[in-house]
Formats: sequence, C-alpha cells, structure tokens
Amino acid sequence: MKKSTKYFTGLAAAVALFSVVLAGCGSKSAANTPTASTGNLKLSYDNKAQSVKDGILNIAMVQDTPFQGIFAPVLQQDQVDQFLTEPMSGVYGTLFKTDGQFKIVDGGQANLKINKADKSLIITLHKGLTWSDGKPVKAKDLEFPYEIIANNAYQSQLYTDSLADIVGLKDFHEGKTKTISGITYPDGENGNSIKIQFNHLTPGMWNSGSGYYLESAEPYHYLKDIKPGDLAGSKQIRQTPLSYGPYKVANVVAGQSVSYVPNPYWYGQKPKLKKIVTTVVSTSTIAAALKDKKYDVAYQTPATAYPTIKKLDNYVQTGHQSLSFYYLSYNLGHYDTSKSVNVQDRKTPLQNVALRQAMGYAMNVDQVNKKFNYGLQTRANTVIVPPFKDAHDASVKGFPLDIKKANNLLDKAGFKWDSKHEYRLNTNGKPFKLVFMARSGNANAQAIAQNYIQQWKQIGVDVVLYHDRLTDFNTWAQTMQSGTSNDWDLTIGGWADTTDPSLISLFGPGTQSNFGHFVSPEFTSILNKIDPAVRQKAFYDMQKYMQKEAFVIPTSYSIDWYPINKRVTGWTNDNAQNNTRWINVGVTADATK
Amino acid sequence: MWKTIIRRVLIMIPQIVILSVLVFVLAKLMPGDPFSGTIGPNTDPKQIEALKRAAGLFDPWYVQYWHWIVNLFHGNLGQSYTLKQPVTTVLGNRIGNTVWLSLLSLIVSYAVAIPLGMTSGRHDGSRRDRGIAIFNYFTFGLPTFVVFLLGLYFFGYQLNWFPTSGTVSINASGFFAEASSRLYHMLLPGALAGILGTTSTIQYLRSEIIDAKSQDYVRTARSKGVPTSKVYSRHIFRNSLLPIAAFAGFQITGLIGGSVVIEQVFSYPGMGQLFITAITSRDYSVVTAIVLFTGILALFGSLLSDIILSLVDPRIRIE
Repeated sequence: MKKSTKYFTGLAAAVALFSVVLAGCGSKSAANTPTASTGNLKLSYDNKAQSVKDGILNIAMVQDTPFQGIFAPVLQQDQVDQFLTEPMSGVYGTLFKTDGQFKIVDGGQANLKINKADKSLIITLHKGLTWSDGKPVKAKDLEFPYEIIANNAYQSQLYTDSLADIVGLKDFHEGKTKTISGITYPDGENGNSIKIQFNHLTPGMWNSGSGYYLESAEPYHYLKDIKPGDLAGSKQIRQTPLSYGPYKVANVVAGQSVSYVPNPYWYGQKPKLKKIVTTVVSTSTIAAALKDKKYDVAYQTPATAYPTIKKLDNYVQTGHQSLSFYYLSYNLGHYDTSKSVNVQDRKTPLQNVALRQAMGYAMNVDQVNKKFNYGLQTRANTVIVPPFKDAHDASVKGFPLDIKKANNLLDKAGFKWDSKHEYRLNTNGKPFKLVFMARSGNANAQAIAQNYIQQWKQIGVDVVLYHDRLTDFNTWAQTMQSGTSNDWDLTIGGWADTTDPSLISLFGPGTQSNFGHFVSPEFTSILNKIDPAVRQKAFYDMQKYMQKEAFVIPTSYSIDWYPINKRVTGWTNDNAQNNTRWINVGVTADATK
Repeated sequence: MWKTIIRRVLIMIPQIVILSVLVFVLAKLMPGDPFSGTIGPNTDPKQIEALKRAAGLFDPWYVQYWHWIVNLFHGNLGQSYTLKQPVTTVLGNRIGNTVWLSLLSLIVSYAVAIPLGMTSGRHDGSRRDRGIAIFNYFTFGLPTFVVFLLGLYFFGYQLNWFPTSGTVSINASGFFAEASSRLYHMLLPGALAGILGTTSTIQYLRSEIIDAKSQDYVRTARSKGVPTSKVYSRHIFRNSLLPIAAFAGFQITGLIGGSVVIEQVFSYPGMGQLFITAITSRDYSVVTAIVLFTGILALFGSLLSDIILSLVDPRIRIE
C-alpha cells in the first residue's frame, strides 16, 4: 500500500556508490545540458498504433541493490516492492478507484461507503474479484491484513496511531482480545463486505492512502497456516504470491527479476500483454541499456542519466509531479517525550523570524535544481505538493532567491555587519554560528550543501556543516527522532507524502516528526480546522501562515520521470487511472523499437 | 604435521571468540539501529519500542552477545531485520552466486597468468615480454569499475554477446537450462575480473623464473642434457610457484568476500553488496554473520596456505 504512510525520502539512495553513467560516450558541455520540467515531460504517451496480441513488456528497475521481493502490500515498507506489485494490484496497491486527487470514487475492485452518522465505513468487494488460484476474494481476506499488522507476532512496523482509531484494534494489538471488535462482516466471513467502526471520523478518510484503514486484501486461505514470524520470508509471499489484479506473478528470481502473466481469473477487461518482465538494472548502465533498446520502461532512473536519455530518439520522456517534497527545518526547541508535546524553547538567533526568512531568500534553489538535478526537482513554494490542486496554494510565493530582500530583513531586525570577521552579529551584538546537518546519500549532496552555505555567507550568516562533513542517514534519523538534540540548527529533510495532504502529522504540536519543534496556538488552531467543510480555506491559511513564520523553508518538489519506448501503447501517469493503468498498457512491435 | 595442524586449529578458537566479540560490539556501536528511518509520522513510537525490545536491542551488549552465541550453536544466525528472512536464507541466496563467480574468475586468472608469467620470465627482455609488461600495466592501472563498465558496454550492449544483468535468466527452467544460464551470466564478469586479477601472479612468476634461471640446480639439469622445455616445466616452474602457493589459501577468503563493484555494475547479487547494504541499514544480524564468517575463513585460509606451501616445497615442514 504505497502512500499509506509517509516516508523519509532518500532511504534507498544510501548505497549509490558511483554516479558514473555510461553515457554512450558523447561529450556534453554544461551550457547545453538539457533539463527536464513538468512542461516537457508528457503525462501520457498517446501512441495511436495498434498493439500486438502477444507482446512482452520489459521494465528496468533502476537500482544498485537487489530488490526485497515481498509481494504483499500489507508487509511492504519499500517503494520498490510496491512498484513490483503494481501489475498485480494497480499503481498504489489499492482496491479503490480514485480521481486525480486521490479521492475514492466507485468503480474499482472494491467500493467504499462512509457512514458519517455512526462513524463507520463499509468496504464492498466487486462480485467477480477472484484470486489467481480461482478462489473468490472474501470478506475475511479484507480483515486478515489488520490481523497481520496489529498482531505483534507478525512483527509489522506498520501498526500506527491512525489505525488504532479503529474500535477494538488497540485491544487486539495488546493481546487483550482474540478478534477485532470494530471489524464486522455484514454478510458473513465468506461474504463480500466488511464494516469498520471508528472512534472518530477524519477528513482524510475519503482519500485513498489516508492510513486510517487498509486498502488491500490478503488471501487468508493461502496464508493462514504459515507461522506469523515466517510469513514475510515465506514462499507464498516471495515466490508464488496470489493476485487479484489483471496480472499474476509467473516467476521470480530473488532480488533480480520478476515475470508476470495475465491472471486467468481477472474479472475485468483482458490485459493486452502476454508477459511483463521487470529486471534490476544498475544506475551506472541504464543509459547504455536504453540506448541499446533493451527496455520499454525505466523506473527510478537517476537524474544524472537525464541528459543522455533525453537525446534518445526511441524514447518518449513521460513523468508527473510526485508527492515528495523537501524542506529546510530550523531547530527551535525540543520534544518532551513524557508529555508527547513539542516545546519551542531553544535559545538561538533563529527564534527571530527575520533571520529564518532571510536565510530562505538567500538560497538559490532554482540553480541547484537545474545544475544538480537536471530539472527533475523544482523549487517548492509551500509544503503541500501541487498535485493536490484543491489544497495547494499557488499564490504563496515561497522563498525565491532575493539577496537584497534578505539583507534588508536582517538589517531591519538588527543583525549588524561586523566588518572584522565579515559576518553579521546577533541582535545582542555577539557573533553567532549556525550548524547545518546536511545528509549524505546523493552524489551531489556535498556540492549542494556547500552551495547553500556559500549563499548564506553572502548575507553574512555564518553556517558550518555538522562535524564539518555530511551526516549519514542513520545518524541523521536518530538525531531527528530523539527530538532533544541541541547540536544542530538547520537541516534539510524530505517526505514522500501520503495521498492525503493533511500535514498535522508532520508539523503538529504533538508529533515527533515536527523536527523543528515550532509550536504556536494560532498554527495549532489552523491545523485543527482542516476538516471537509472548510478544508481548502484551512489549507490555504496554513500555507500562508507557514510563509509568514518561516519555521520551515520549502525547498523542492520532485518529478517522477519514466522514459518510455515508442512501441509502448496506453502508458499514462495520470493519477486518475492508477487503478487501470496496467490493463491498458501494450506494445506495438515484437521487439523494442 | 597433524599435531601442528590440530594445535593451530585449537589456537583459532580463542581467536574466533575475540573476533566475534569485537565484531558484535563494533556493530552495535554504529549510530542508529535497524528501525531508524523506518518510522513514519503516524507510526506509534511505542510500537517501534516494543519491536526493539522484542529484538533484544535494549539488553546490555553481553546479554545480546550471549543470546547470539547460543543461537549460533543451534545453527540459527537470527533474522535479518531489513530483509525479513532468516540470515541463513539471505546468505544462502547470495553465497552461491559469489563463490561460483569468484571461482570462475580465479580459474581465468590462473589460466591467463601462469602461461603469460612463464613466457615473460623465460624470454625476458624479448618483445613478448614487453608485450606482456604492457598488458600488466593496463590490468594494474585501469580502475576496475571502468573496465567493467566498458566491458559491459561493448560485449553486453554493443555486441550483445552476453547478458547484461543478473545471475540467471527468468525464463530458465530445469536444472540444465538453469545451470547453463548461470554460467552464461557469469562468463563476462568472471572473465573480466579474472583478467584484472592476473597482475601480481604474472609479476611474481616472471621474477621467480628469471631468478631461477641462474640457479645451480638449473645449470646442473641443463648440463645433464635435460631438454630446455623440461627444465622449465619440471624444475623451474615448481620452485617459482612458491610465492603464489603462499597466497592460494587466502584466495579462499576472497571467494566469498565478493566484489561490490562487479556486483553493482552487473546487477549481480552477491556477498559484497549484501555486506554494504547490511551496514547502511544497520542489519546487525547480517553484518555480524558475514564478518564472522569471513574472519573464520581468513584464519583457515592462512593455515591452508601453510599446508599448501609445505606440499609444494619439501624443504618447508610445519613443525
């Protein structure tokens, strides 16, 4: 279930050893290096040609490590496994059909009905939905994932506070009950619907991926006899998983490749391909592989390969804005674990909003994105990503480069220049130095961090790297999660957002993920207002308030980029077609063009 | 000799214990743990704490170490935190790939290096010798990942002679098809790694042969009228192999160590990558298992080297 939880971005990038891309030996000068933008990446590839009957689609999974290969949405914690499960269960691994902004609509493999009056919802499976072994998908298969997540014996890390709002799930999790009292079967375990009773209804519940309930089924009859501790490693999950989608897994070479064939029991429109083969390809050779026309589609291609692949005639560059965003966070306080609240109490010049804003205006994010990310990241204006059209406020300007404005802000706020050491002094007349905890993991991370430090120097703010070097992901995550570290002043974090734009879990007063510990009664009241009736206004208010207070500086949005061979038909990245994309994909010729 | 071997093996026991303690403690000293970074904003911190407690991460190191040792003697290396499989399964998946690939490259390496070293030593100063010296400069001087990338580019993508990624084709079914597909997949990486590994063997062999040529026993053999080719193949070759034999035992450690570079370029899942990934994701159980395993092999490797040396050179006896 992609997006059922927010991820730290950059998790998988930890072992990018070389950024050398075998570029087909062409020489490039920096001046004419092509860069991407959502404008020149197609949302869909509209190939009018007729697809052949028995086509085979070859997908490259671009990464430098083998994949894990857990083909059960309920046990997955890894985006690659979610990609690998797509042909079996749709793009976001959800049973529901959604519109472009992830709102659940009728017409998927299951329908959702929320009953506001009694705070419950009913999930009804499509009558024809069948596992790839011929057995029907039953109500019990919808309930079984909750048992897996909540029963500690399965050791799932995915049991969350959001799920705990289901009546009885907490008791089941703590071992007090044998069944989950809030999940019932209106027409029996063998029926096709379940009813879930909540303590509260939350606005995000109408969206897919909100995380308040699960959106996939697991085959109870097939998995029930496996010991909980062995489930994730079992053959039934890794080698011969069952599917209820248009394709099923035919063969798996652990960590290397997966082949799929049509699921004979699929109730819907017949898929167009005879076979799909997904193979791991290293980041250093993907450009050469596409030049040799080895693959039809490439997933997770690194931005460094963009200039080369862009020039290939046989490929169309498609993509769309992803749900990831990055931001600069200022350390303003600490997290009080005993009371589960953030306290904004740190003695730092960053408590002065003018300094926070000025540092935002000094960053040249556009240049960094163009030079180091080939346009596959764009400057962010708010922390709500543009795909959430109703929630994203385009009128908020963010912090575009403006050194003059930054200097003015600092002058007005009383940060005076000290000509002796060429930096500004704190408002109390004393020199100050800020510590930047910049993360490693990306080949350009050092250059990007130095670029920002150099920009801040221009406005007279002295910033040094934490321990004079980049920080590895584990140290970074540990420091952030401890919530009490006084050793850093600024850091850049990133989240792959859920399909629900609500950010209370990232910046709320009680969440540990509020790394900067900014709290204010005004902001808390805005966050609490985000409910369906005034949803858009509250989101807009939130973004305006964040712009004014500048306790985080939104830096970048990411673009998901997929090079597609010209023989592919029916390819689209449109979120409204997530549920049906794989049914429509086909190929025109027998060999890659 | 047997006495000595047994004594050496007995000395290994405290060495292995010290090694295992070091490995275990050092792994725990790394910042973070397998659960860092997997925590989303909706994750209940209590859930993670419960999982950590269940995994024993809050126990003092000696308690954790004791559990680990007890499990080890039951053949249980624990569960990989990130791959969610028993460590023995994880290692089992990878070790075969690495051993076969290393074995192939070792065979290629000796098959290429021994004739070249012999030729170059026998005809030192000739054109052939200079040609071999140039070959040596290349294999020694070129960065390995450049050679692998270029090799893959030309032989894999341009000429399409070899598969470009993985250890086996997904379509291979049946023992014979699978075995031949595996061999086909490792030919290119194995051959390239083998050729790159020839430098030291050629150099050692060459200088030993040049040395031996002027030795009394060679002169004696020649004066007895032994044909030149026999002098080289029987007398000189055996003596010149000594330094190479001294290293042979250690090659065994190399067999399972794997190469991160080759595994990454050829998307060939092996031990090298597994080790790096396990370290970055703080997968303690996998890290400790690999380090302990390679450590033990290194100890046995050095013993094996001594034994081989004594077999090759009757003058050396293990006392």
